[in-house]
Amino acid sequence: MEKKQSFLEKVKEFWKVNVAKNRTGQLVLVLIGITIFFILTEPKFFRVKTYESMLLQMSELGILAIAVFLCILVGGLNISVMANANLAALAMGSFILANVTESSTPQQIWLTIFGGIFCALIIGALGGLLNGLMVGYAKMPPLLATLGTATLFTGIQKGLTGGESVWGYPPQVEYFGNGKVLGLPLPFIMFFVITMIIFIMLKFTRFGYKVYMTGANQTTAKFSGIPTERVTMFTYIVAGMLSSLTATIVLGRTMSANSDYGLLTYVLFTIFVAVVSGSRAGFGSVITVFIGMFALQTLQTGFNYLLQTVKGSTYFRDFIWGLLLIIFLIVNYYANVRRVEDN
Amino acid sequence: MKKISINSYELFLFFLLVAFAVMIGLINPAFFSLGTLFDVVRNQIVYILFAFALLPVVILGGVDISFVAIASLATFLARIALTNLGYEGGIWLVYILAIVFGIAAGMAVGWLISTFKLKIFELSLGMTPLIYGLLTFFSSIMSGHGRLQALVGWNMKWLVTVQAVVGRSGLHVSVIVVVLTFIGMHIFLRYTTPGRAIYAVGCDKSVAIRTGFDIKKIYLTVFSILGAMAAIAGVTSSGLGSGSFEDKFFKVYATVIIGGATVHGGKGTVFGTLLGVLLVGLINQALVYLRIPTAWGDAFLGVIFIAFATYQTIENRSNN
Repeated sequence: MEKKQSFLEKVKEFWKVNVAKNRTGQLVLVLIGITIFFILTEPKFFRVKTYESMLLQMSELGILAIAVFLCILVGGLNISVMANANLAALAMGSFILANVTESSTPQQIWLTIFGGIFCALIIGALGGLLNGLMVGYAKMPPLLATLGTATLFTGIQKGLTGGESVWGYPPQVEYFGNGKVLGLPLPFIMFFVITMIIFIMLKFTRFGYKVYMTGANQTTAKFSGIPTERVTMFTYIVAGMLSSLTATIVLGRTMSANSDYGLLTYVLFTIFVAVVSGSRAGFGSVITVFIGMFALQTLQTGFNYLLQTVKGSTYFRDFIWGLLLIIFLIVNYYANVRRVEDN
Repeated sequence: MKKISINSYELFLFFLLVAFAVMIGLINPAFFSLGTLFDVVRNQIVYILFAFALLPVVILGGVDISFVAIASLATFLARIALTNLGYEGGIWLVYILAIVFGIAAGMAVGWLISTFKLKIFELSLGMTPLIYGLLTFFSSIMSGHGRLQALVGWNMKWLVTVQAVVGRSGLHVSVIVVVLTFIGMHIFLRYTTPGRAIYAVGCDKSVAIRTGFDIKKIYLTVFSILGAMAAIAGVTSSGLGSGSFEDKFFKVYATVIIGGATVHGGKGTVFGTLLGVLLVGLINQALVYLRIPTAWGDAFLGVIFIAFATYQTIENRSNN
């Protein structure tokens, strides 16, 4: 009798530490819950094929979500990541188109593709630099600064291409969107590796520590000798480079560079992931973002199966996303209220 | 002191507008005509109304993107309701009904924001797909409803017409709507206590709370105006047949900022906003006259926006 109670207490203690006050635990629980729900309601859901396509779809968005997460962590916001990615995809695609001829050997094509990725990284970093200068040094409100740059990037791309999409790349490019390594989609491996790198960067490097400090309280950080302007700028540059990595996936998957690919929807989803993972200035973990992304993708794929037969269901899905975002915002409000009361 | 600085900014905008017009006119004399003026005004009517909708939110220091969705929702509901009732009168009842729906939607947004202390941008990010999803879902079900009789022929109602280079240009009737809302908004923002309260909250929220302003009431007021003005813009847009506004929220936002409302909140006038919209409209027109591909329009707007926002930020910092 006594033993059982102590076990119950242990469970209670575990619950209190890992679920009641920990967003990661909550999300894992939610993930398990919705997975079980979809397995029970939809026989086609729990298959290798479903998970393969899920891993593929979540990676593109997940990398962008990490980029936005970093900007939120340092006390800002970034809604220009997708516009930046589109411009980077155009740079990469144009470099490849300009340097690949009919007589190129596969080896040369691979070299050109890596050159293209380098171009994409430069464009992404430059975009991030512009954001970083405006937010970090000019102290512009981050939402506005990135709203401006988002329009600028999209505008430049529209001006250069006349609003048309650019395609006609060698088939090797497709590898970045649909290729597989060890049976896992390459984009997912990229997403996973990036998550790990960012995790290590935030947890074990000085730069990561400074990012947390700057986000938590910029004035205090400044007086402690942290160069907050530079930390902010570098964070935005990292976010820009993550956008370029997304660009390689987008280019590989769609085999074309578009100026309006996923602009509003991706902004919605990246901020959604950040809200779901409870990230705010100075607080949050990239692992939570990863799990949150997984949960959202499971939800989306499950909805797709469930609503397959309903007429006009795609529109209804938009409705559900909007509703879920608002619900999570309210949930965060109550979590904040409780946190303040606890302290 | 502050009053003078705002006025001087408006003067600056006005001279910029004139200088710009003269510059284009020197390059292409065809630009100087009443027809061009009417065209610029007509192209910008809906933007002006949307900018008025957004102005109070910007004065509060927020960014809202749901106003375009609210405009569509209010217009859609008013149209469906009146079509089902078999209404055959003029357009004014459509306006009134849409305004009622718009205010209801706006108040819902304002209530959510003030009750749960949400960020305006984040909530509007959720509101937009929610409203659009609902709209497209219902309109895909309710297929086959005709155009409302009240809106037919509205886009060809002119106050004055003149002979232009190609065809006829005219001053559209909906200019009356713009003038009325301009006067209404100007009086409200400048001479009434709730209007001044918006500036107070935008300048410094915590001071405003301590002074005794009811934040919740102010948010409800601001978003009721947003809903009402968005509805007016939506009906006007649908009457003019000027197409979808789904992706134009940034353009509206940029024009409000260029019009003198600052990115930090607490500033902005109706007159300045009007000048800002006209300036952006003139720039678009100028691209055509200067034979620059219109595809570069967004990039230009982005650069101008960044320039204005940077200037404001630096000035704001030197003031503090």
